[in-house]
Amino acid sequence: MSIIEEIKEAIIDGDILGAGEKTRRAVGDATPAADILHNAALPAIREVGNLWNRGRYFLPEVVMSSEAFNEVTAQLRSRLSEGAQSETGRVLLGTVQGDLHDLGKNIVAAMLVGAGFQVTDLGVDVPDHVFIEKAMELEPDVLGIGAYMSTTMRSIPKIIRLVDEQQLRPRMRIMVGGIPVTSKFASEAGADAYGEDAFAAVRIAEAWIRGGKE
Amino acid sequence: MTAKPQRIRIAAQCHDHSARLAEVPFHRFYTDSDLFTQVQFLVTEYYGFDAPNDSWDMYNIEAEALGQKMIYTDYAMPDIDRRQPLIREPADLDRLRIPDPHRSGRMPYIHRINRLYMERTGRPARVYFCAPFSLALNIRGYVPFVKDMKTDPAFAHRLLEFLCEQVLAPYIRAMREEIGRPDQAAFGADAWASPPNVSLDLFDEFVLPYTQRLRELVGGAVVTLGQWGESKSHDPERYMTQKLQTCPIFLSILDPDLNLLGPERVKAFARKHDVTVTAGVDAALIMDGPADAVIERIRNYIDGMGRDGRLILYLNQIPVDTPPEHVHAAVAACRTLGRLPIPDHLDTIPVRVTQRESFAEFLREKREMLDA
Repeated sequence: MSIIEEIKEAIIDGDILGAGEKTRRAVGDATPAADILHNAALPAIREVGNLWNRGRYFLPEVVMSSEAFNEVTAQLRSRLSEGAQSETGRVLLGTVQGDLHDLGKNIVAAMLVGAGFQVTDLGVDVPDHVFIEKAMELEPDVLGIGAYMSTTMRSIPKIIRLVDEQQLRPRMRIMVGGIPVTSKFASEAGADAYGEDAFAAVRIAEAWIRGGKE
Repeated sequence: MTAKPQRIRIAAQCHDHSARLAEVPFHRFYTDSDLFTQVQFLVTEYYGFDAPNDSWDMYNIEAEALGQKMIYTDYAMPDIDRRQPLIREPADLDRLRIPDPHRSGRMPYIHRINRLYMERTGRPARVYFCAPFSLALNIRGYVPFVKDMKTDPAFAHRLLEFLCEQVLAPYIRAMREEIGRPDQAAFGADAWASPPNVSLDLFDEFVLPYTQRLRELVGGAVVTLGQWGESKSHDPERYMTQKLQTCPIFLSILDPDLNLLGPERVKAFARKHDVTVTAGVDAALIMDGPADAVIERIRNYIDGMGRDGRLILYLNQIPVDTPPEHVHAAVAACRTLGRLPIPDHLDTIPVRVTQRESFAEFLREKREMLDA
């Protein structure tokens, strides 16, 4: 098995230490970072998405694979030229004010990075105005807003109203998600899409960047 | 001998919504036993539930007593500060201060609530606790605990064993002592132990053994429940069988899974295993409505699962801003459609939802009655 195949397998298996060790070995052997990214890391994380969609993987497996993927890409980052990273779009995301849950958001962020997006993660407990200020500063293609409690999800329509007051749409589109959020709530809040899970979020973001409609 | 039920019963998990209805400060609601109890009994009466609202932020009490940093706000129940998990590294486990089950954190708040419920109902209060798996996740963090289970399972087991022996068993014993019922059934909330958060194999290894361990430690009936995720389990019958091992006295199944699997499939499983179904009606549906949709969901569940009377409807965690008319609609549907025997053509029976006063008006009328 080639080192590229080994790294890919380690990511799919969620072998964090193995993925890191094999990547160090590959880099030491002068394997181009772009090869590792495009032929091992990205196909591996896509395969993890397939395994999730087919019901073979549960969240713990996705978490372990995401961590392994992050271990690999962290080592490659400084070695990749900007062009080689072939980012497909820019995403700004965060969890609303008063809400400290970050599991779903973190997985979304990892999957988006895996799909080639440049992700800026504002973290948790993000005040409404910070979403707006950062959106104006970074001009992302997608704003992702997460809320994980029925009490905190009320911030979502407020943030969307602020986005519209600043006329940041349609250039930027808004996707929302989180345990209590439903597609009906997302629609009534004025979001452009509801991301049911991390893989759906990636699929929708990719469709937007391609110019299609999810 | 238990009397044969005359109708399907309906209850609710309702606390944030209760605090909002009563317009009481959330911090006080979750720290003042007398206020909590008073509000919960009033909300129970307002909606006409068949059992008193007796749930609080059940995942937090033991964690807080252990020293986990919490966040109190004016708009929701206290929550664990997930940025600062109590156990950042395995060595932290050995540095934990073991709680005094009568005095630490808000444990006295719970003991007093249980005593007040007993005084008001004349029946022993239910003993609630946070199940070992969910407690471990809450003080360790989801991702670190997943890594523990996958790469350092010995530590994950050591943490769960510690929680059972040093925290939960003493706390369950203390709650039973406080209400004078040493064998009172204890119910452990375990929503984290749900697919896709866990695989069914992880459930076998890290969830089931610790419900069993608690039973060994404290005796009497100990169940863990509140798990959801049948529709994400990819083998719902296996998962429901696992859930019956954690809670053998009834099958608790919550929306959206129940709706996705369909009541007939769930009822067939329950019939095969000779258990009552507790059907958790969708929080999002209760909040979003409309009332007609709530009524139709309840009609569907009674039709598909209630004909033998072995069904309890449960409004699962009513969201804070739920319009009261949706809850009234759910109760009216249960009252109208749930009379036993259930008629053959349930779909032809209309449900009339009486226009109700607001909770504030209800309170005012109560006060006037008391003053008179």
